[in-house]
Amino acid sequence: MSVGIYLSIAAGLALGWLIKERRLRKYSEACLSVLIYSLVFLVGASSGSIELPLTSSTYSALTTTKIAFLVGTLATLPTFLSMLLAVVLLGMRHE
Amino acid sequence: MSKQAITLILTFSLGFAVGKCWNVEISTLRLWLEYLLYLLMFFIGISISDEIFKLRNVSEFLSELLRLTTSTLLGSVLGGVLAGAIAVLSGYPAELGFSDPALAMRYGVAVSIGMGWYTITGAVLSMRGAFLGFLGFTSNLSRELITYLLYPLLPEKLRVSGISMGGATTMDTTLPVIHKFGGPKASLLSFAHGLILTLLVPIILPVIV
Repeated sequence: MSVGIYLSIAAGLALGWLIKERRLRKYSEACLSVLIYSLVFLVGASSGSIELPLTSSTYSALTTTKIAFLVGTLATLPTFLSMLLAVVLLGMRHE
Repeated sequence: MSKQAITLILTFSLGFAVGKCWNVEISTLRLWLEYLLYLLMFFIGISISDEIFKLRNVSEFLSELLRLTTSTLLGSVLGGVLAGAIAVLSGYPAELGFSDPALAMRYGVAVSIGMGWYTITGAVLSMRGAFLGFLGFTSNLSRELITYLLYPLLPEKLRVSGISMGGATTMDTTLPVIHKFGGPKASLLSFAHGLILTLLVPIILPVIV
């Protein structure tokens, strides 16, 4: 997958470099605006259809709430601490 | 909350509902997702080509990139340590490894250092046990989903620092959202940030586990 991503972005960069038309960027932004919703829809659909790889014996040792709490802590703390540190190191600004 | 952000969250929820109710093969969905991602990357490439070739201050860009990557790495490690400590205090069964403080923190870091790359984290950690593999998979998948849902809601001043949220996924899956809400320069930074982390995760993860 990574190779495909590198190749796709490189092809886009090459085309953008070869054709310096402003219209090309406008069209590509328009395509992006539409495609992004398809991507988010598919990400939602694949998240919804995932069957969790947890054996029943592990379930019996824990309640669902306790599992959700552990997953939630392990997901949210690194995510927000990363952003907090980035705010400290980079400051609050936008491009 | 902007109209676009609401639409994005609604689209995600609709997709989630369809995935739950409709019996779609996950492998088929992942395949569609992969091809769609290639197409999006192609258009992002066109959009950021101007930014790349007009990039005058390379040293400033690299310094920003270094600070952003460092904060993601440190934040993930700190978050993992803290989550491990919280798990110890919450009292989990000893056989899961979250009752011994040192082991719990190590497991916490092992899960969080995946930085959103749930496939590799789930696979590597499952060698240490099914439950740890499950935690690696779901926690990192949740990190990706948090980025999808929260990045569009961030105030404009946090759109550059907010890239850190996505971790390794900022190179691919979350890049379109960052591009749409953060602009071309943020997406350039996001791609480079994700690329570095994607190269680092397979090196760091086995060392911790």
